[in-house]
Amino acid sequence: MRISLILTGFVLSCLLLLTGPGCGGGSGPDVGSGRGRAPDGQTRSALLRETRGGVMPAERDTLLLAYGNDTNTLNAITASDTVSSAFQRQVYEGLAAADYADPDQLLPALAESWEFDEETLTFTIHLRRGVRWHPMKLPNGQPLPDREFTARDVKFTFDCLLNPHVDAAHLRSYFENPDAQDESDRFKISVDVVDDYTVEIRWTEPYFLAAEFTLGAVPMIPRHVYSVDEDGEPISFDFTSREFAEGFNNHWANGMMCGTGPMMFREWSRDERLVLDRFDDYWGEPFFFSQIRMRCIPNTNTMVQMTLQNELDWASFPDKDQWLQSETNANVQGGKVHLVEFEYPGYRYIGYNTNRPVFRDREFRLALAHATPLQQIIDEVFHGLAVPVTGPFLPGSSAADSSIEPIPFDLDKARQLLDQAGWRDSDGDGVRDKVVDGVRVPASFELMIFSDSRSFRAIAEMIQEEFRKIGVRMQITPAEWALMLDRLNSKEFDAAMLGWATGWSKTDPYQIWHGSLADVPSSSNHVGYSNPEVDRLIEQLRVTMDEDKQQELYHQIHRLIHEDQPYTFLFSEKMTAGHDARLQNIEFYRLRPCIDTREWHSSTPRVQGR
Amino acid sequence: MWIYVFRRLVVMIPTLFGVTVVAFCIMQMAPGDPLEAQLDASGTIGETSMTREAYLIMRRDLKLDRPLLLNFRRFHDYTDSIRQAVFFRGQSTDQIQQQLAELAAASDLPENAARLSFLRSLSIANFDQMLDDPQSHRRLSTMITIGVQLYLEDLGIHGVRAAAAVLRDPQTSDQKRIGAIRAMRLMVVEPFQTSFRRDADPANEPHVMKTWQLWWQRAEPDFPQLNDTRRERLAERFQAMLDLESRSEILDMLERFDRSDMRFFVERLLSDSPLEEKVLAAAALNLYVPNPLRLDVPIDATDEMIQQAAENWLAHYELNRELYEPTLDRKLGYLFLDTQYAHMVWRLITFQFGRSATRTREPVGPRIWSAVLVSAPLMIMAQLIIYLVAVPLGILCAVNRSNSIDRSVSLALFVLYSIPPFVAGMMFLLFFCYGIFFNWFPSLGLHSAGSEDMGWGAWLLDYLWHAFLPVVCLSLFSLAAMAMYSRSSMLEVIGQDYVRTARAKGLSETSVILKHGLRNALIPIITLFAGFLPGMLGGSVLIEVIFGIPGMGRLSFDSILSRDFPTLMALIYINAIVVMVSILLTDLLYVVADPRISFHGRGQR
Repeated sequence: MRISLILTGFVLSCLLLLTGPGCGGGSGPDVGSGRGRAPDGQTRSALLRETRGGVMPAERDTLLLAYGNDTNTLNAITASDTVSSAFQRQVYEGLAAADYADPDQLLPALAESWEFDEETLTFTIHLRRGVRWHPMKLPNGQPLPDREFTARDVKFTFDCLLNPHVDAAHLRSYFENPDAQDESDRFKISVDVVDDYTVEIRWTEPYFLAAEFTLGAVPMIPRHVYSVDEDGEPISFDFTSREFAEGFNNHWANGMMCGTGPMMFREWSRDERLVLDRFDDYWGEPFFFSQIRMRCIPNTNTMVQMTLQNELDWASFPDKDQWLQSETNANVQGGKVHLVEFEYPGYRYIGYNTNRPVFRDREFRLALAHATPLQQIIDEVFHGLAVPVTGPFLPGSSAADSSIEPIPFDLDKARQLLDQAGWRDSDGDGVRDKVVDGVRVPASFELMIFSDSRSFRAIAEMIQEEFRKIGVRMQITPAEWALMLDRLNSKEFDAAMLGWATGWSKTDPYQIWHGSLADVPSSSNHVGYSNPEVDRLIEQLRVTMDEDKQQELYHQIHRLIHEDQPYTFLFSEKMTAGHDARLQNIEFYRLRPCIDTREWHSSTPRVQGR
Repeated sequence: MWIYVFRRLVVMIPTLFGVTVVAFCIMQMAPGDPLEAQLDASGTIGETSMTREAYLIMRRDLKLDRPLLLNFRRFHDYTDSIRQAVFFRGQSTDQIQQQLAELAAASDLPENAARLSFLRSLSIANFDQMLDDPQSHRRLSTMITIGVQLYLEDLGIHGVRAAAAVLRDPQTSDQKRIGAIRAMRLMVVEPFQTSFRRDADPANEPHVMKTWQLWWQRAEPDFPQLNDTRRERLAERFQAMLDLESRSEILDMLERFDRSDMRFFVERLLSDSPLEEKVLAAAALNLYVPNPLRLDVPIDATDEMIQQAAENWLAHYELNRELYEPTLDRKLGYLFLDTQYAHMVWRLITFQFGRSATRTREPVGPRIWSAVLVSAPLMIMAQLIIYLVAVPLGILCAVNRSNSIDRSVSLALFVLYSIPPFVAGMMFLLFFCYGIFFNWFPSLGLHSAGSEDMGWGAWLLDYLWHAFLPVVCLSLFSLAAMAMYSRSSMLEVIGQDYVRTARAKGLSETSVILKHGLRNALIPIITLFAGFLPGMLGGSVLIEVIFGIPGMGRLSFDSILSRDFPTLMALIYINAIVVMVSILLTDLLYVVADPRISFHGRGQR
């Protein structure tokens, strides 16, 4: 959905802030089978029902996971980093969730069903009955009353995130109306409670991702917890006020979680661990493991080694070399640890600042693409663990036009294109030049890369060498992340190598590609791309509700951007990971996080991990 | 001696001042806007007005919009530039594009010259080139719109007086009135209060009442008179609400009224009722009437819209006249005190470190304290090891001066000295933790999983087992240095006359070394003891990251990366104080340990 700027490979806490919620909901709840609903008066036990993986849950079994940098908050509305979404995935649920098997499809979760009226643009949402919130205590130890999930919670959740002073800009941006002229039409939605189990959400204008945003993007939070202060009294009488937002942003429960999901919060020890327990009163398919224990491991070597020693059940190995070396490890050879690789949504690119005279010609940018040894990079730097990308939509997704071929590595073609566009070496210094706007511009520019990544550096050096052969001089400038962002935001750069963490298929290209953002400082269109034809298609896409037409528009946009080459599109990196051999039924999906722990089960229980 | 201590303490003040200035400057120069990082890179221009407003409010709350060191803004007259800003703010980008054509054609006219000089002051890159090229006028007009927006936002309340004058002037054209209203909207955040905060402040009363008064003037015809039974019923329920203790019950009751009951609440609010009644009445109004006052207008606003918004803004100006037309003494006060630096120093002096800038917004103080509790025991253990191992080693070397023992120990010490602690940490992990060679020690953290349920003995053993490698890493480097130091100190003492005298008395060599030699050799070493205080607080960044220990080093590292300036400033400040106190302590220890040194003649001068 919303796309965020990332640097894969080296994850710093400051970067995580920029990594959005990824794909909507993501909490992966169950198909609306209704099996979870217990007859009244009977206690539900998680142990009596099958898990999503089709087996009976374990009585006692701990799943050991790891994370690199701690999150800032556990508040589901204000948290926006990948670590906290990993924490929250099994605790919080949305009204609906994208189907792992088919990400374009929404499956019911807290909403049992919904209707959309195309005339009034209104979603009528029927909530599931008998869903219980996890038990929760006030800081003074007094337990809060056990509550059922109702329409009041839905209304409250939307009130919170639409409150402009709540730190939830990443979620709010889905619903804000950028052309608002007045206080009253600031939002594209209005939320009304019909009765305890029915909510109406009305959009003021058609939007092609309305269903995803309304149903899938927002985790539901409990009103009885987040509306009250430490003493259990309401923070404010008005959930849209600044006073409430201050109380909410600094809420006592920001270090805890209270959702409706299959796992509930047990403890969080900052920079050490987070522990979740199975929630017996869960409405849907229970979680197989009785506990999830996640440890904070800032040292990635330690994380890898612990996985290889069977001290962790699952961990991703960010360093590809390390992953390949691990194949010789005794435990991997002995079948005690399995190594896996899978595709992950996101891509890297080199973006060219089109305000710079040197990048004004399409032929020049196309020549650079021809001179980029993409396959060599994938083979040598990533050992084949990456997939070439041809445009802004990921290969294999329904949005990408699969008939587009990657631009072949062809130095002769590149030279020819440069010659055609009038780039010649007129002063014999080995670097081509051209007169642009009456000024002689040399084919020379600076490539800004992230200073702490070895792979970025290696890629940049390979490209530099090939560019030199076609008479283009590229200087590599490593920069620290904050400095990089600063220069991107003020458009004071020539070219930059970056990555986008995108959604799998349906994303809104407006944020990155629409020309109206080209001259706006700090917009995501930092290269200043503007093509009236693309603008028109994007605008059309945003109001098209028909899926087939959407796909056609996506393909056209994909092709046009591919032809314009404002970026040299590089590749989508594969994720590498290792896991304990006891884990069974691990499947990979295209929807982030690409694995569904609710399907997993184990052959031998781990009662207490070290 | 006390005079000396006092003097040193007085000297600390300017030193601290200097430290804060340096830290402040570095943070100012660091790239990246800390607030933008917090707001998820949004709140940027081009985002919607709401998020933008929240961003501005946060900026003003944290005083980041103030000038750095001196605030001259109250003395400046902004009338001319506000006139220009209002002019452009009242036009769409298409209209600005037309204006640009005219400006480019006749730049000599005095009116146009003023416009141009204002536009140039917005510091748009390549402004003149773009002005000459009609092709780029479209882009330029977007940039001007954004530039004017930024200018007004930065100017904040200082431009309100001039804009209000434009609005008040009957000669002003409609377009400029639109511009003035839209400019006001950017300069003033939260102009009206619609309800009371939880701890109701009587000072807010006129503001809240004014809001609803303005609304009621226009909305009254929409609300029919209430009949007597309804009124009675409402009065009863209102009274019942007032009697309730629990705020959640009050909220439940508030939610059960109807919009048509608002006449009743307006009457309660605007009459002479006591404050608590007004608080409830305002809360009810606020709940049922969102956005009561029009404050913003579109470019193509109707006369009625302009009229309403202008009235509202002028009412706001009247209500806050004191703020916008300050007296001279206030202006002078603002000059020095209303600056970013002054606000920061005030927070530091009063030890109000505030809340972390990261999403949890937890208070900085307790967080630092919990990190100290993790780092300090490790550092104390490391110091103990250093002293217990280094001093005997030093003596051993000194006693066996220049023979093979001395040489080999010295060589080993040099090797240790040249290994950076983090390299040692990685080697230890590789050899003793990862199971590639040995698997003797845990590689992560200070406690095992499940250590919460252990008895204290087991817990302590578990802790020591986890802490062993980090402590060894922390001590290696200083251990080598300290051993060298004690060796040379011992050597010096051994050469003294009194040692020779002791030997001449026929005392045993052990007695000579330990009783006469060691005591004196320890003097300089003991004084080094105070130097480890800052280390204890500072922790070790690399060791803590390598071993996954949530101590001070990691806290500082993470705060730097996440641009958590409140935490960072508190850390710097506390560290500066600790360093200075420990230097003072060192001086005092000298006097205590060595009778030859005294403060006489220094303190009295």
